[in-house]
Order: sequence, then C-alpha cells, then structure tokens
Amino acid sequence: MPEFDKNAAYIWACYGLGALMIIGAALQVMLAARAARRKLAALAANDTEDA
Amino acid sequence: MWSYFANPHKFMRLSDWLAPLFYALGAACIAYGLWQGLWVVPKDEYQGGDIMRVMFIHVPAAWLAMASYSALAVASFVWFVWRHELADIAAKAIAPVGAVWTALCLATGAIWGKPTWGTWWQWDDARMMSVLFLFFLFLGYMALRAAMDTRQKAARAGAILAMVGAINIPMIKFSVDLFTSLHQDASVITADGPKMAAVYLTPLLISALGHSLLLGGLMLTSMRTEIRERRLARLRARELEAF
Repeated sequence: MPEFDKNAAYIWACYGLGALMIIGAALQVMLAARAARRKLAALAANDTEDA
Repeated sequence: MWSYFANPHKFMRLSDWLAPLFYALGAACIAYGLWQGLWVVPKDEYQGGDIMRVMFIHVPAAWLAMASYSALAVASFVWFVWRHELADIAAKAIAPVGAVWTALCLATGAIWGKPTWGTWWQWDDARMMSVLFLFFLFLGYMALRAAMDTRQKAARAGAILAMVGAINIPMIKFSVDLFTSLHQDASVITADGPKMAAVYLTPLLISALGHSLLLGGLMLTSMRTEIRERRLARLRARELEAF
C-alpha cells in the first residue's frame, strides 16, 4: 500500500467514497436493467402460452 | 441524423455492444488513473503535499457533473423541439447518474477542503454553492418527473426545468473568476492552455476519460431499461384492452 503524509485519512476517504458511490450507482443500474429484462421476458412467455 | 439515432430498435442494437465496450474501456482508464494517482505521481508540495492526489477523483467528478447536466439540457432541448422519444429517454437516464457524480464532486471537494482551507464547507462561496445548486437541479428534475401523472407532462416539465437550469453551468465555470472563492482558479481548461505539469495532467485526463466512459455506459444501460419499461407498459395496456 502507498504511504502518504498526515493527510492520508482524507485521501483514502475520498477514494473509498468514490468507489462506494460509483459501484453503488452501477449496481442500481444493473439490477434495474435485469429486473426490466426479466419482466419483459415473463410477459412475452405468458403471451406465448396464451396463444 | 437525429431520426436515425431516434429509432429505439437501432439504439438497442447499437447500445448492445457499445455499453459493454464503454464499461471495459472506462474501468481500464479508471484503474490506470487510480494506479497513477495513488502510487506513481510524486506529491506536490505547492498543492499541499499528498492531498493533491484527491484531484484524480474530484476533478473528473466535477467535469462530469457539468457535462452530464449539459447533456441533460441538450437532450431536453432535442425532445422539446423535435419530440424524439429517445431524447426524453436519454434525459431521464442521465439525471440519476449525473446526480451521483455531482454528489461525489461535492463530497470529495469538502474532504479536500478540510486540510487545505481548514473548512469542510463555506456557505457564501460561489463555486461550492453553484455546484450544490446543480445537485438540487438534478434532484428537482427527478422529483418533478416523478410528480407528473403522464409521461408527456413529465417530459415537458422536466425539459423546461433542465433547459432553464443550464444557466448554472457557466455560473459554475466562471464562479472562481467572477467572485472571491476559496476554490483555486482553473488550471486545465483555460484560455492559455493547461497550467498543470504533464506528469499530473496525463493521468488526470485518462481518469476523466474513464469516468466519462463509465457514466456513458451507465446512461446507455439505463436508456435500454427505460425502453424495456415503456415496451412493458405498452404490452400491459394492450392486454388490458383485449381483456
């Protein structure tokens, strides 16, 4: 691990927060995409069964 | 050109391979920026020592906060004038990711401010307040859309707010020139060119490119989700009509 001066805590806090927020946003987007894909596939499957 | 890209089917085909490409390239650029920012670049005593390493995350976040709002305003304008649905879908997709990068800019700015200026926040600082206002514009845009009972009303109200709010972008950019601010003057995008040494500038630009690609990928994925949601709503409405 790199060693920083007295401001190390501030630096790590910035990078940690950045990772947390970006990964959180990416997860939210991916989960929403997966849910929409599944709902659409389920509806299409129902339509096929009805037909 | 607008009509070509406004076709959702063509967009779905294009974004199917473009979004993963953006993610892969974005992750590679961000990883390079992290490696450079944390391990390679020397500390700059003039900029307060090691704390300047925060720049590799704060500055891309600040640029993307402004760029994403500009994209939101442009997409809103395109929808408002030409009524292309894909432009509205793009605007709706940009707002949440833009808000995340703006929040990241505010948070990392506050963390950088404490050891550098001795304060987390200053309420009468034009740069800080204009970025905070940008964050509220993103939140306001999402809240306004959610409050409307039809998609058309949501798109119209959101587009007006997004276009009016675009006045804040030059305010952010020039706030450090027009008002007294704790924030340093621009050192990359200036009339005389970058004032920053190449050893810092190159990884900063690559990091910013990585953040842009990642945000672009997330935006494309969100747009694909919104297209699917709208298709789902149409299919359900058709089923109800048939019933």
